[in-house]
Amino acid sequence: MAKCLNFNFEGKDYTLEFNKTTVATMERQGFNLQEVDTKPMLTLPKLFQGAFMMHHSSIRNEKIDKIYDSMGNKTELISKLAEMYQDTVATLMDESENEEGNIQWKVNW
Amino acid sequence: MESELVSGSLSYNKEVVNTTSLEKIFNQHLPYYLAMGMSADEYWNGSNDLVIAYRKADKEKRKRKNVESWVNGMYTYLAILDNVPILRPFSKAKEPTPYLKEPLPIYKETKEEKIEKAKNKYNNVLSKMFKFKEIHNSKYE
Repeated sequence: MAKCLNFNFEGKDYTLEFNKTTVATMERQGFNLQEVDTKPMLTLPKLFQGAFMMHHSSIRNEKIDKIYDSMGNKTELISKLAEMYQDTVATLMDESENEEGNIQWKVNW
Repeated sequence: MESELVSGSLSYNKEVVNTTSLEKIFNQHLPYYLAMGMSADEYWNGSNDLVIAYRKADKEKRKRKNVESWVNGMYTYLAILDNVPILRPFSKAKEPTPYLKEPLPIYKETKEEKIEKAKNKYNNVLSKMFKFKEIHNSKYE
């Protein structure tokens, strides 16, 4: 099942999702997920705004900012949005990489 | 600042495409999925899970094609075998062995099909026995 984020704001249901077109558009507009650590104040709002493009392309930035201010647990929210963003390219990878028999590795940080 | 709509223009500019990273990756994978039968619209605007479904479907298609090729080879093999009696040197056979009367079974027979097959076989043997009896008895009439 495709990863998406659902919520209700002021009586309206919203679905946040990324597809290849919206990710490409965000990149053309200057968005770079790698900069989330170095420029979080610039990157995070753009990531949140970009998630509206697929299903709510006509929504205005002011409304998105209002919704963002009302969202709880922002750390988890941004983490999930980043995961959804990366999923657009991660799903292009062959699933045989996840099959049993492969070496299981883990990091220490 | 005047508020603006979220969606930006997606005019296709080759120079811009070459400088973006994820879009470049998407473009690199596009022909692979188009060859599978995925439409460009599904690839760019569809759900991210769709590419996974297309890959799995392509795998199933290849498996099926492989089995079909194997069955085809089996029929060719059996046809050649049927002709071996007349192809062997000094063979007394004048005709090849008859080819299969029906296709090779690819599904397990149901219980009813097994019973029907056994009945037909029994009836065939019985009719041959009666015919033999008639021929044999006619010699003494």
